[in-house]
Amino acid sequence: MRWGPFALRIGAVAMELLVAAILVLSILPLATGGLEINTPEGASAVSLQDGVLTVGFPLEVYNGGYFDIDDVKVSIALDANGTVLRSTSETMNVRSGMVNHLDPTFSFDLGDLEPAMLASMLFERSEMVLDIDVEGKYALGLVGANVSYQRTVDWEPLVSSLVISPGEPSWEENGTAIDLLVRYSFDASSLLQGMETGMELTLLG
Amino acid sequence: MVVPVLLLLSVTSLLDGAGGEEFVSQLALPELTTMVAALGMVVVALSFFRGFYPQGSMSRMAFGVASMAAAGVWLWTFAKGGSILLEGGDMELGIDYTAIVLLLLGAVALRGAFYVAEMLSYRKEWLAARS
Repeated sequence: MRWGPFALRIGAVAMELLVAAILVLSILPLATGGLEINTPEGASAVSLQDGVLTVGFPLEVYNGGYFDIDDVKVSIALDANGTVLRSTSETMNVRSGMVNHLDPTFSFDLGDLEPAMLASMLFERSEMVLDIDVEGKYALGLVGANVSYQRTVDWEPLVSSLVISPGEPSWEENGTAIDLLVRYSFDASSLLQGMETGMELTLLG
Repeated sequence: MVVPVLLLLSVTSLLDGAGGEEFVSQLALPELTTMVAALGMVVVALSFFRGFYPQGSMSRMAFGVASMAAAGVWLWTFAKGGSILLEGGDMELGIDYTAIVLLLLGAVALRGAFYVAEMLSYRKEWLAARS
């Protein structure tokens, strides 16, 4: 037996068999519907606090394959006329052979926006480009995949139908000052409901 | 070498039949099939000449190493360099399997090294047979 050539040939065959086994074990379960993604009814949560818009998308992912799906990251970007709000979820792992409960959360700090853009988002209906990007690694990290989904979505203003009734102000003297009562009304997004509202008026004369 | 070409032809035919001409175009499958067939013939030709020479000869080793080098190029071409990108409508899918391709290239390199080891191992017998 010539051990040198034999060892090299066995090594080559072993590597080929290893790759073949990884390919079969990774592709077959996924190709035969071994990956299921469910969204629990009404589980998504959107909140706005201290100028930070937080969106949560709880997911139930069943991985019927033989390998974990590692380093799964979801990025969401909103592009409005060149201004981008971007948020990336924490890295998640989808274990094989079980249902995984994932809770990717995305936070958008509206304070990062320019005042004019923030005002536009607050008061105006517009179109935005929503870009969702999902990436992860599979088959012991040997295969990486990236899925991007992009579409234009309608942005509903957080405050609409603002009506100020300056025609019938009532006022009363308060010492040396005058208290002026101005009635106003507006429709608010559910995100804003329950929050305090302030208004600043400047009288010019 | 025949199986990958048949596989590529089948995938092209299936995608064409299922309305996936866009993916056929994005993956450049017709050009890829031609390249894989051409490079495959180079590998077959080099392997054929390798078989002419006895174990221990430099010629066998040279053709063996050259055939494995060509097989490496063939594999890299067939695997499209280890990554593909598909775009359709609003979606884009990218798959990076460079590590898998590198593992297979490692196996090809071992096969190339085998011909060097085989020449060294059988060299004395070959020299003795010549004298």
